[in-house]
Amino acid sequence: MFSIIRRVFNKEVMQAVWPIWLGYLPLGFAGGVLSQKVGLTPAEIGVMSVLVFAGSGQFIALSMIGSGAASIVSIVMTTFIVNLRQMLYSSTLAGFLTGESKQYLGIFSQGITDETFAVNLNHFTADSSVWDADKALGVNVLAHGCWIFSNVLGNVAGNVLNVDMALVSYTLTAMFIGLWSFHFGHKLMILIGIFSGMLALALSGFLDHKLHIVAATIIAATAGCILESWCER
Amino acid sequence: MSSLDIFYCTLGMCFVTYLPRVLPPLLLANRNISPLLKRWLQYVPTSVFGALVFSEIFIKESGLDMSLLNINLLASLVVLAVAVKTRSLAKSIVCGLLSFWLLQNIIC
Repeated sequence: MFSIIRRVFNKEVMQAVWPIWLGYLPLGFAGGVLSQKVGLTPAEIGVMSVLVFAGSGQFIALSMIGSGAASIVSIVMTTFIVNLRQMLYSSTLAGFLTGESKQYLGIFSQGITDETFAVNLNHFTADSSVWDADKALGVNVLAHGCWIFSNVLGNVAGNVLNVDMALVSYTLTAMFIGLWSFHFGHKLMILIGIFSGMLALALSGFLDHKLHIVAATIIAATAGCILESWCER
Repeated sequence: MSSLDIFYCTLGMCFVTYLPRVLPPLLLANRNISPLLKRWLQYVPTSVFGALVFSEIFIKESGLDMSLLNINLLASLVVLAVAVKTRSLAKSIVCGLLSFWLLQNIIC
């Protein structure tokens, strides 16, 4: 038992997870404040954070609950669409998790978000001899724990603290930029990333609920594949 | 919404967020991934990050903000420079937050 804990939670995992905590503490706190404002109890937001763990999806769902006009079906459908991109993440991570048990995959998958995906992928690709499935699980579990904690805290202590939301959400943007730049191995990678970004902006005009992220990713990754095959010829 | 409604809502959200996360690894992890899919997946990270970063920087509630006074954009150039130069995530984030905070107080 003790050795499992040491394999999952250790110094490397802490070093990998702290930027996520830096973003999740204030972001989860803000989500907790919102949950309290729309009438959820600490227990309710706690259960939701455990079972759902979908940062932006949770924010949208909470504001829909708050509006009073939205039906349960429409809230659930919106959450589904907003979080579809995690399918791309778990497909990508699957390549590093071959041979893991079904139980492992079942627990690990619940912790896949924009942030844990980004951090784990970077560690897997940077040094696969140091990074393994146990540490990846550690990152997911610690990030999820922080998310639950900060949501409940925000719900309980919501009206005491004032959070600068612009600065908070910028923490995660900065993290994405840093992690993105580590993928700039060859020119095509940079090019495809920029193309995907511009595509996302163009699509955001008529695709709602973060679907523009999914659409831009699928198109840009396909373009990358095609261009690479051309270059090989 | 009643407590019961919120409970059903939570269960529904759990279902629709967990399935897309867990199905790909369950289906892919223990079999050989085709070379084409592998190649495609190689381009997913840079595409996702590109789409996320551009959206975070340029999309505001009021619409697209392509101006040079966009604080997110200016701070992001700092982050990018620091990240490429130092390859350190910690330094990139700290420099980004500092410049974002400074710009917020200069421009607004």
